[in-house]
Amino acid sequence: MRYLILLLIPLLILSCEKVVSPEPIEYGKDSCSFCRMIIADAGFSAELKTKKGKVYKFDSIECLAAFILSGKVKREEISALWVSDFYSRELVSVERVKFLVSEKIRSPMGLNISAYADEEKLKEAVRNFGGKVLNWEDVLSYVGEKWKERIGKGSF
Amino acid sequence: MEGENWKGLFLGFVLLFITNLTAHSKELYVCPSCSFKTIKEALRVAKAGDTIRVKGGTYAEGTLVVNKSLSLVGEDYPLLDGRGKYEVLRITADNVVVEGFRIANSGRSDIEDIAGIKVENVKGCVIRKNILKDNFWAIYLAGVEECRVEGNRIEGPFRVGEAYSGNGIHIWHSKRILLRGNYITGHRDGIYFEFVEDSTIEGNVSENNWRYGLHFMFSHRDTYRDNIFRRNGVGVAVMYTKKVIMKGNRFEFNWGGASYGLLLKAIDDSIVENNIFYKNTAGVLMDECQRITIKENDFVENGWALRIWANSMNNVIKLNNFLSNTFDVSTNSTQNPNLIKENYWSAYRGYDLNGDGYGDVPYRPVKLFSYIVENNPAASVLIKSFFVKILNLVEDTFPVVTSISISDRKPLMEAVRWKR
Repeated sequence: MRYLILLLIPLLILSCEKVVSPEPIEYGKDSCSFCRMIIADAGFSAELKTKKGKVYKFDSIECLAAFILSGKVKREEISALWVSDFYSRELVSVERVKFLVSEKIRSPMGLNISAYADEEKLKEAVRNFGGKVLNWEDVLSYVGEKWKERIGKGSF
Repeated sequence: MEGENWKGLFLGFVLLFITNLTAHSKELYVCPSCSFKTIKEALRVAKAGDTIRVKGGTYAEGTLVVNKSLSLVGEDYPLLDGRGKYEVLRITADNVVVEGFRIANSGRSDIEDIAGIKVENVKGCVIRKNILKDNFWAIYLAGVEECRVEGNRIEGPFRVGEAYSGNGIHIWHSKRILLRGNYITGHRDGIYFEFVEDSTIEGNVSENNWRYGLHFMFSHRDTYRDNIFRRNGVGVAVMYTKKVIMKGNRFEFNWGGASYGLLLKAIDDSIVENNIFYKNTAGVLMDECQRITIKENDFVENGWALRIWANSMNNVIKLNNFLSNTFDVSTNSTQNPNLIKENYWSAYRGYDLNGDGYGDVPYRPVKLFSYIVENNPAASVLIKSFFVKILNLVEDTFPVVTSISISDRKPLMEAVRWKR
């Protein structure tokens, strides 16, 4: 019996090392950690998890970017970032997507940023709606430029 | 004398102009036994200035595009049916009038905002006295100027959750819009304004929408007055806007963990006057607001009448009636740079010995317990407990216990009778 418990200990330790995955967003219930709006549209939502496991949810990619830029959570504390894929409406790691800024795709906070995990789907969106393709760093500087004043205020 | 002559000449011109118009405009009738069997056919033949009159019945003709300046008038409420597939009516010309239709069952899409009536990039339009039912988006205006949306009845599909219902009246990047006397229910947001300026929302009723009754973003210099916002999922959210006038509205029955009558988020230089906040979790929630005047409102039987976060500055709260709220005011900081004075508080127990109409000792509307709850929401379970009763009693007896700076130094002895 004692040996059995000893066997279990490494298992217990191993189980702590689990893959970081996003917490599901409850649409119509959860509110955005940056702008307070109730998150309603799965085509644009986003999420941030800290290394301590605290979860922040956002109604739009621009709000996630603004939240990071405002420095409420330090960059070295961030464990993972996810954004919704515009077509599949699933949360995908920011490292796996490209972004599109298009007047024709109206995002909840008006900066019109959407994300695509699939290169083909991104091409399709560009064909249909036009706009400019960005990577995550570009998104951060785009939002930083557009919302300079708002982020400066540290709006929480 | 000369003035008279000018007047006569002007009148002559106006008459000439009117007769000229009527001489050229025609009426086209649509019904199974009329000369036009379909609305599409009439739209193709009609010229600018004409009126197309559609008799009662059902018309399912896919998407109807109005690309000429004409009037489309329904008689006995003909039904335009989108059959769950199409945008029903799309208006792309200036000065179009749409009146007296039932418009139902627009298509739905994850990608596109499909609407019952969509108006894009035009100047002048009138959408009047229509009935819209079970559309994805109901009335959708984008890039328009000087449009009037009046007396429409809009019922959404009442399904909570994304992708099932868009907004009732959705207006984006527009100017000088008038919304008057509409009834909206069962949508995501009843009325939604994004980048809409110099516009008025008046006398509408927006209830039982699953997110906001009114949702308002980046929309400067607008007025909304005499509306009723009732039982919406969250309440009304006015965000990131300067110079809004909010007057004579009722915000009521917005109960729920995160609900409120009115959320003011990042609002500057605005006025909240003559409104009634009745039975909301929070009447008004102010986050990051500046120079707002909240005057002559009634806060009745709310959980919190007013939650004002310390990141809000230089706001004035005066001549309001705070009647039977669980908490009158709460804040998340001991310092609060806002002015609260000359309000009537039904919970005030002071006397007016010098008879000047004001209580002789200040009223402290922030209870220590509400401050605790603001910083630790879970503490609200203690609300009816003996501990909190003791706490309130101690606080009333020895005000020094409360370090929170907010107080009304001139509390009124009688309720304010503001003009209704």
